[in-house]
This record gives sequence, structure tokens and C-alpha cells, in this order.
Amino acid sequence: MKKNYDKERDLRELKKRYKLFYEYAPLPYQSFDENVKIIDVNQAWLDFFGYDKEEVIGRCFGEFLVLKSRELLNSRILYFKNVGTIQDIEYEIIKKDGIHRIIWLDGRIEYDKNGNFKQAHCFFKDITERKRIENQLRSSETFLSNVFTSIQDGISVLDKDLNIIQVNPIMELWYSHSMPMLGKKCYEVYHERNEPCEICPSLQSLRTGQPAYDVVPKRGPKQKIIGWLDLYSFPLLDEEGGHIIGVIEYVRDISERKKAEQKLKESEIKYKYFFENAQVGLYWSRISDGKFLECNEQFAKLFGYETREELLEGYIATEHYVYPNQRNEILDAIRKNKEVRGYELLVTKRDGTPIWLSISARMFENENRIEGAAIDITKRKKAEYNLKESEIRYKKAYDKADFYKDLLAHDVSNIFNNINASIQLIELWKEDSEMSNNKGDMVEIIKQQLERGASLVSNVRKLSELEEGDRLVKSVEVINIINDSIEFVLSRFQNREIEIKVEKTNEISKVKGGDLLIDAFENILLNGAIHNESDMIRIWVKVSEVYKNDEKFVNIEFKDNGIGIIDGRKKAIFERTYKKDRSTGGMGIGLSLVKTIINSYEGQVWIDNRVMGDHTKGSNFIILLKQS
Amino acid sequence: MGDYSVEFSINGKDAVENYKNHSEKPNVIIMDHRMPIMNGIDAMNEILKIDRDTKIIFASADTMMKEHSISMGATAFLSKPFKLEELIYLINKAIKE
Repeated sequence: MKKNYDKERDLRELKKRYKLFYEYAPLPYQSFDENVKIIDVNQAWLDFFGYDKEEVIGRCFGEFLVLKSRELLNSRILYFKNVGTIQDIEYEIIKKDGIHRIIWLDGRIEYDKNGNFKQAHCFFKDITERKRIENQLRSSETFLSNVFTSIQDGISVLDKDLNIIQVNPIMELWYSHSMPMLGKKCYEVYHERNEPCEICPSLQSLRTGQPAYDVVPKRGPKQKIIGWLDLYSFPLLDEEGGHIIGVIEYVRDISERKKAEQKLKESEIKYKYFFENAQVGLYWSRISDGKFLECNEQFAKLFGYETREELLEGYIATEHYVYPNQRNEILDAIRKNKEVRGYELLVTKRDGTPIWLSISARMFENENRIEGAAIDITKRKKAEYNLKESEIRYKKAYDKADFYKDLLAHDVSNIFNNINASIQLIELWKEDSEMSNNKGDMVEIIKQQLERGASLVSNVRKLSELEEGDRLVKSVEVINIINDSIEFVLSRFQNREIEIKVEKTNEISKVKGGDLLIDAFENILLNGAIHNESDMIRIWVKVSEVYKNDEKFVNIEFKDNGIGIIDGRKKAIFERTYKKDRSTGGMGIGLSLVKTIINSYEGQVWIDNRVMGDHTKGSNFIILLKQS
Repeated sequence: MGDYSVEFSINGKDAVENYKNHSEKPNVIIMDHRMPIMNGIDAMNEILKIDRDTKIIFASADTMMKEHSISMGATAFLSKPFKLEELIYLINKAIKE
């Protein structure tokens, strides 16, 4: 009895332990029958799936799996039954809340006394996270592998002894002549050497534990240098991160770059030669302040410097523009058209001498720089100027010659015509006593024409002298000259009634004048007398002092009671000189002479009506002469 | 030399005004060219606008005006200095035409 009691007690103890194990084991447990219907599950199972026990017992385990896993279960159940155990079978389950998880299932079949299937006992573990990490890792590996194989630069992994462990396809391509590479020394494969290279970034990296870099030759078969490589070496550390176990070499082919650099260097040398030896001045200057940044010797010489260094040191362009606005003008021109060609600039040299330059330049605004070429065109400009001056002088001379030719042809012809006609009429009337009075008139006409001719010759001579520029300006008493001119005119008009009165307001200062002032006054007085149809020719001369623009002048007015001058002709009447259309000019150059004379003494002359608003009542010639 | 009465104008403009205002138009006009205010060509044009058949003898020391004056309607051109016989001849010829 005691034995039975002990057995029962042991059995109870066992059940208790079993129950504890069953209830509290962390791994989900299930048992199912031959038809995979769930007989029992533990709490861990229920917690995992999210069901209550009643919802689960009697249901097929396959119902808790995704379709693919259910098919796997169905396909493997027979094997399980036959073999009796299964291990690490992967299923994808669906929890009550719809979330999918991955599990690994272990199982053992319990058989009855007869060896028949009784039930299957299974535990499983959730490997969802592990699967996720494995997938991630796999993706990562794939990615890195893709990068490793597809990168167009070379990657080489060496161990501590410089043996090649791994290379990417590019390295295999570059060193196909040294295949196979793995397991060989890097210096054997890459340089066909028996010992490490003198300059080896990988050795340096192994020694120092730091990345290293250098440019190394790329060699083909027989050590022939076929290019250049940028070689970066990085120490490869073990998993603990503490010890160097090798190096990773990252290699970039810079052969093309080196070629380009070499070409550039050669170009630089070539262009440096041209720059330094060019016969035109070449320069770079700063846009912001005009400072010269670089130039050749020829440019320096343009500005009177011995060397380019002196110019770069001492010459500030903005201070040497003769016309300061030209700097902005040229900058605007370059900005507008991207460049200028043949832009002419006047600047001064080091010693202040002006120099004309022809500039061709372009701007690099983002670099604050102008680059250009300059040549000295001073001689050409001087020649152009001289030519222009010559042209002007020639034109003036031509116009002058043309003017005098016309004067001769027209005015003298008219004078001769009148004399000739008068003489012919005198001859005609020789025998006709009735016309004897008229003969006297003809004689008068002849006399007048002769005087006209003489006056014309005299005026031409004076005009010519004035134009030569040889006249003496001196201080003169204007009243005396007026009186002398009146005396002359009175003597000319002895056969007509003529009265000339002079009025002066106060003491009159001396004026700037000269020997020709009397001719000006005479011409005006004669004009007033000749163009006068009144029975009594009257001329009033008024002399006063006036102020104009704070300057003192002597004002002389010659008023007459002649036929007057219409407004439209008041200006033109002074201008019978070198203009092309002389058809409304009439004859004589007397009034032109007046203007030329007065202007030469820095005076002014113009015409008004004697009576305001009525030109028919006579003219008023007004002269202003500067006080001397 | 002939039984002619002669009237004078002091310049081209005066000549045109006198022509317009005169009830009896002249048989012949002797026109100078270079005159103040209005020259001979312009005066001739104004007069010919009034009567295209007016006889105008252009007399000028400006010989370059010969062709131009004839093309503008002058009956004849007389270059200064001229002889009286030439003038009388042209006047008579113009009147007869």
C-alpha cells in the first residue's frame, strides 16, 4: 500500500510539475490529433495567437496558417507521422488580429501501446524578427555585392601580408595579364615586382592604422607604365574593431586627367611664351577698381614702365583716364556685347603724357576680371587729327576761294555792267541835246559804280586781313572814330541832303578795338545813307555805357530814316560770306565786314527797327564793344 | 531805241507786288537774279503763275543761272555785262513773239 501511495504521490508531483511546465513555459505548445485538429494548447500559445482556448480546441492547425504554409503542412504531415519528429519547420501563421508571424515548429508524435498515432506534441518559436534581420542582411549583402562588382573604380582587399584576398571586376579587367590574382602579393600582380614598392600607401596604412593616399603608376605587362592611379588605402579592422587585419585599396584611374594636366601644362608654357613675347599689350584687370592683375612686358612699356612688375605695383588705371566717363562706357559696352573690339581710349602714361589706345577686351563678371589687348594708336590718331585739320583748312580755303571768285564774277560784273551801260547811253545821247541832263546822271552812275568797286576791293582786302588773324586789338577812343567815320560819309554824299547827329550820355570809356573799327562804322553809316529814299537822309548816333552780365560795355546805336530791313533779313544781312546760296544776298560785303570786324574785337552787333514794330521807318544798328 | 516806258522794282518781292497791282501788264520784264528778300527765279515763278505768257528776260552776272532760268520759263538770258544793243534786240524780239 505504501508503494502505491508513493507512486500516486510521485504521479501527482509529476502532474503538478507538468502542469506548471505546461502553463508557464515560455514557448507556445500545442498538441493535435491525426487530423491535425488541436487537442490542447498552452497559455503561451493562446497569448501568441491572441485567442481564447474555446476558440481554438478542435480546429485544424492549418486554419491558423497562410495558404502556402497550410499546403506545406499538408504535404509534410505524412512524413511527420512516419518519421515521428520534425524540427525547425518554418510556417507563416496569422494571429487573431490578422498580423502575420513566422514560426519554427518542432514536433514529436506520441504513439499508443500498439504503436498507433495518439497525438502530436509541438513547440514553436517566433522567428519573425530573426527572418527580418536575415532578409535585411541578405539585401545588404546583395547591395554591397552589386556595388562591389559594378563600381567603375578598382577595389582590392589585402591581408596584413599584402596578399590579395578579394578584387572587384574592374581590377580583374585592368590586371587581366596577371590573373589569377587572389592569394598573390599585390606588388607581384600590380607591379610585377618581387618586393613592396618604395611608395606604398597600403604599407603606410598598415603601419599607422590610418588611411593613406598616393598617386601610383598603372602598369601593363612587363612593368610598362600605361597610366596613373589615385590609390587610397584604408585599414581593415576585425569585428571587434580593434586589430588591423588588412587594407582595402580604393583605386581610381586618373590617366586621362594626368594627360589633360600634361596638355594643360604644355599649353600654359606655350601661351606663357606668347603672352610674354607678344608685340601687343596683354592684360588682366579687376572690374571693381581697374587694378591690373597681370600683364606682359609690352603692356608695361605702353605706359612707360621698364618692367611689368613696376606697372602692376604702381599704375592705377582709374586715375589715368583723360575722360573719366570712358571707363564706365567701355564697361557697359563689354557687358552689352560680351566683348569690345577696337575701342579707342585716351589715357595718360606714367609721366602724364596722353596716349591713345585701341582696346579689345572681354569680361568675366563672376571672376571680377577683364582680359584684353591694347595697342598704341597715338600716331594714327594724330595723323587722323592732322588730316581732319587739313580737310577743314582745305575746305575753308576752297570756300574762301569760291567766295572771292563769286564776288569777282558777280559783283564786279554788275559794276562793269552799270558802267558799260552808262557809257553806251552817253554815246547814244552824244548828239541829243534833250538828253544832256541825263548824261550827267550817267556820269554820276559811273562815279558811284567806280566807288562801289573801290569799296568792294577795299572791303575784300580788309576781310582777308581779318581772316589771316593778324590784327592788333588795342584800347581806342570810340567817339573820335565815330566822328572820323561821319566825316568820311558826309564827303561821299555831297549831292544829297544828309544830317548825322551824335549823342553821348556821359563820359565814354575807351573800348577794345583797332584800326578797322572805323571801317565798321563807315559801312553802317553808308548803308543807312545808300538805302534811303528820304529827301533828307537822317542818321542819329547814340553812345552810352551799359552793363551786361556784370561786364561794362559801350553801346553805340546807328539809327537811320532809310528803307529799313524786314525781320527775316536782319540776321542774314550780315552773313554774305561762304554760304552756298547767295541768291538773296544782293551785292557787296560791307555788312559782313562789319560783323567780322566787331566780332574780332569781342564785340556784338545786331539790327533793330528805328521805330518799334515798323521796319519801314528805318533801321537801328546796335554795336556793343567791351570796355578796355 | 524805241518808245518804251520803264518801271523799276527794288527787289524780287517788290517786282511781284507791282506786277499784281498794275492794271496794265508789262510787255517785257527784265529780271535780275541776286536781289534781297526774293531772288529773280522765285519772282519769275510767282509772275508766271499769274500769267504763263509773260515775257521775262533774265539778266544776271550769275552766268550759272542761264540754263536754269530758261528751263523755269525765261524768254531769254542776258549775261552781265551786256551791250545795250543786245538788250534792245532781246526786248524787241520778246515783244514781237
